[in-house]
Amino acid sequence: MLSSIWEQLLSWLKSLFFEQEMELAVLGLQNAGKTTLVNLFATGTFTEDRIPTVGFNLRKVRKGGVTLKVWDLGGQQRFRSMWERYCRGVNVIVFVLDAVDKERFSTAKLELLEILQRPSLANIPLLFLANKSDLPGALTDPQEIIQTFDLKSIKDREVAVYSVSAKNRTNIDTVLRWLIMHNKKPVKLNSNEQSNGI
Amino acid sequence: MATLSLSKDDLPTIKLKNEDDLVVSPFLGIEKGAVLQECRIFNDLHLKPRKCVDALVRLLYLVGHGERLSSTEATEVFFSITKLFQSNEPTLRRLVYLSIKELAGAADEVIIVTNCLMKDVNSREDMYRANATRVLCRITDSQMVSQIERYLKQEIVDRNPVVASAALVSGQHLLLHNKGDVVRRWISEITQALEHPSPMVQYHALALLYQIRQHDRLAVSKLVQGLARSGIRSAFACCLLIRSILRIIGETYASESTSERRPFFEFIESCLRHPSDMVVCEAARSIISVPGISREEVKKTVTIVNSHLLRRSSVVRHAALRILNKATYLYPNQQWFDPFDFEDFLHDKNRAITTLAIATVLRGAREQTIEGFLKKIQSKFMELPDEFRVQIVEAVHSLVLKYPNSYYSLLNFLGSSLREEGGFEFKRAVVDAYFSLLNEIPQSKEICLSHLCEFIEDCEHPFLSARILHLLGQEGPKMSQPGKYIRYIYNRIILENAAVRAAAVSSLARFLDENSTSKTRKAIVVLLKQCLHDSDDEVRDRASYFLSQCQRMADEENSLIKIDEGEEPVSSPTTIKEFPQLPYSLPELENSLVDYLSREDFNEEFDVVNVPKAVASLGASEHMTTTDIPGKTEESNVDTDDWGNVSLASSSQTKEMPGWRNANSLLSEIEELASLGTPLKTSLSAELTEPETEYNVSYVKHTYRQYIVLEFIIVSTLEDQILENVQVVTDLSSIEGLQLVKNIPVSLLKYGSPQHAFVILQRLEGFYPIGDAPCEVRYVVKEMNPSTGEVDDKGFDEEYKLEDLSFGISDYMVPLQQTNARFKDIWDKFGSQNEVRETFALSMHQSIPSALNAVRDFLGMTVVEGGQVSTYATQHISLFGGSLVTETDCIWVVCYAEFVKEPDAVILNLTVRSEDLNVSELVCSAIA
Repeated sequence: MLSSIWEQLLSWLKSLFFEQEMELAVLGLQNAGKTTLVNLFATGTFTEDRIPTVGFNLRKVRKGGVTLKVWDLGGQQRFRSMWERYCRGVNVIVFVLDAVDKERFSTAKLELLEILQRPSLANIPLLFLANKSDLPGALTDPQEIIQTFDLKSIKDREVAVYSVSAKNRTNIDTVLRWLIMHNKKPVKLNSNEQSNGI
Repeated sequence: MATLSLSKDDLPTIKLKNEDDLVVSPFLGIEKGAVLQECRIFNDLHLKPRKCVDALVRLLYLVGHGERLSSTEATEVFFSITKLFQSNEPTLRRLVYLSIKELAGAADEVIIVTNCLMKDVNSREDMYRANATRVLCRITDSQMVSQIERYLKQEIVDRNPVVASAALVSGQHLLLHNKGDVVRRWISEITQALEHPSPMVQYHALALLYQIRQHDRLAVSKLVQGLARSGIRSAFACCLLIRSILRIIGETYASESTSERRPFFEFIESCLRHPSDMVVCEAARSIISVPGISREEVKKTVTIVNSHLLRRSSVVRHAALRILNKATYLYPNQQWFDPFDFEDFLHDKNRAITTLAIATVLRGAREQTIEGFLKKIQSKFMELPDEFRVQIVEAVHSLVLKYPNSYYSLLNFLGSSLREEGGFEFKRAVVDAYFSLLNEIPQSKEICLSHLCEFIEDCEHPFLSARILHLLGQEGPKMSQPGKYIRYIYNRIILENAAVRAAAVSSLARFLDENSTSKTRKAIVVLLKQCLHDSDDEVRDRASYFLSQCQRMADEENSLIKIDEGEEPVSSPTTIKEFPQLPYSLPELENSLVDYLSREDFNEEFDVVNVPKAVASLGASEHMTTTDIPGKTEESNVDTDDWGNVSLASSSQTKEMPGWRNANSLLSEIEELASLGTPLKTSLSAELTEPETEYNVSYVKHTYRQYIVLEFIIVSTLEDQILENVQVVTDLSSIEGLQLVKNIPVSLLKYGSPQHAFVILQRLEGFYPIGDAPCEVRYVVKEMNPSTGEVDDKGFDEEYKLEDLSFGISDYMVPLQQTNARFKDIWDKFGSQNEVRETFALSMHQSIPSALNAVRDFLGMTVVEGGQVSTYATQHISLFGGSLVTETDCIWVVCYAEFVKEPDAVILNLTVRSEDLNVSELVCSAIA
């Protein structure tokens, strides 16, 4: 009994002073580079050629006094119906796109809009990352991305778009900074913020 | 487990009942709803491991006690549990593993945790690795298994025994649930695991290896050979090896081809000197069941077993006793021990051992020693609980059958046990024994009846009283002093409740047969008249019914005597014995009555003539099969019956019945079939496919007056397809007189769930079609993904050939339930003008019993008399009775069958009589 009271007290104190936690859900079609990105956040190193995620990965990352709890979800078809369960109550939904694989843009768009219209996920900010900007033929222009994915139509939440490369670490720090800024529960916002990749 | 109990102690709900130290279960009064609510804390941003542990323990408790979670509930709670993977608390993780295993069956999409578990499998914590492996195999499916395969393969050769065993056992699970053919590719790793220093790993590796290779005899022989030579460390593995050797020996023995009759037998023998008691017992048990073993070898083994009877461990003593029991059972003519050595066992602390010892001694007892032994166990017997006493009663029962001449002392034993205190099951076992002895040993009848009479004087089970009263009514009149029983029966009328009183009245009336003296008749009439004032309707009804019958009988007899005075009255056509048996089938009579009442047209009188007469009951034939094959069962059920009691396994005929027991209810559910009424007869089920094919189909035939309904049970064994519009199509062109009326297909057939399809055939008037009809199943097959349940829209028409359906005379014959006396009447009534005689040589049969059963099954008739015959008989006479179904009625057919055993065949002289010469000819020609 006593110990559990202690534990509660301790965690309350912790949350007050030196630890802030936030939860992210990372989703996207398979082979978009979700697990690689999350690993990069966590370890700061790039490792290629991973086996597909069967189900989900869970990583805890400490950045700038904030602990990021990251649900890295499998992108294969059979897992997409389960994304919603792990997105409930997170601070930010991160959607990762394989910017080279233009054939599957339409599928990606469909899946994204599908998940965003769930009532349980209303108002949760969306971070849209077009990964693999280092590869030739990648879609890197944010304006073009916004247009292709019709992101302007998303009115009920904050949306941010970045073109990133996990391999070259392009824009990764910017993204992390953006994430840490959003460690509070979402407030209702109507403005669309867009940042430009360098 | 340690973690479980630990967390229980921490629960705040634990209560101590004052000073009693009586712990109230911490789970008292917990409810599903509340626990599921509590499990929501798993979704919290800041996880509190201790609270989560509590919630999980409660959840596991619920599921473990059989609480059913719906699929949505299970899925919901499962997904919240997956979030607990963020905590690295070992206690919590362990409970997460357990919970996932429990929920794996009920929840959907459990595959989601694959990645988390794979991470644990690759972690450095051995506890995580082993447990995660086991869970992983539970949640995975046949597609995913290839992705986790390489980890499992690595783990099999892991140095840590817990990890290696977990992987091996998981391999077994994968095989069992058809998830992993990949397992078959691990042979080299598993073989390596056989060399593992830990005995546990060796055991699991052997088990898996055997499971993979069990259908390959040569491979199993090789495996056994290698191990038998190199020796095994694990006692469990040793037992397993002995079992597989026994199987090999059995197979070799059956095939009779190889030169070596008993491969690896020396290994089993060497195991008799193994340091582990378990191995010794296993080896001994195997040796005595080796087919064709010599008596000397058995004797040698039994000596070793006998030395184990004195071990301190109850388990070893019990195991040793069981082996002796089995030896006694298999080699009944040899006494394997001295019953007086067993006195120690009578005072054994363990009652199971005492009971088994008594049963064993009884089984092997010599005739001279029985009496002394029974006296000895009498006092011990009373102390035992009911279920053990039932065992002993059954052993005594089989002993009486073995030594019919010493029935007196054994019956005394049973009689005194009837007087003991005891529950219903026990009393019923004793009464059952009496009933069977009464039939088996005619000279014991008198004593049996008197014991039973005494028993009902003070019997608190109306069910047993009623049964015994019925028996008294049946047997009493034939005894030398019927008056004696009348007194007992009448006592019941004064003292018992209504159900027993009614039974007693019926029983009393049975004494009014043609043999009874006028004095007893008068006495019974007086007694019955008193019952007219009974407080219960049923009792009064029965009394007045029997009184009126009695009156009628008296009138007829008077008139008979008047007419042919001086001549002996030929068995009077209406004796009271017959009246309780209506000449109508009761269900049909009931249907007609209900029908009449529902029409509400009471201007017309209900005419009983319209009710078809036939006694359509399988009861009689069922009774026959349970008693006529004791010789045959002795060898076949050796393994199943540890107690070795003669719980005469009924023949395949009755065994098959339960599967179809619900058939009639199904018939009434389907509209087209319900309109046909109730079937007069349902045949035994027959297989139309070989075992282990894609589809299993079996069928039964339901016989109606003008129709035959074929009911097919179809099971699909293919997981990845569904069948639609499944119908059985028969080609009736070769059979004259049958017409297809309707085909009722199965609309949807899924993997593993049996479905019923029907075919309704009409029998043209006057035809009794006989012959074989080819048939096949036609269906639309659609591919299905077994894991997601997604069905391909495109379907293909396909067909699947079945074995031929066969129609025989038995399909139109309803077994007759008539007494022997009745048979003679019918036989004489039909006379020789409707008689057909024929002689057949049944070359398929080498013994009379098999020929008799075959003829009975073929004709679909009841054996009225002469149902039992020894295998070695050279001559035998049986009487058959049945009634042939016609459009409106039933025609009785009776047969007189004489069997003569010739060197290479059984000769059957069959004489058939019926109301109609054509029918007699039909029956006779059917056999040819």
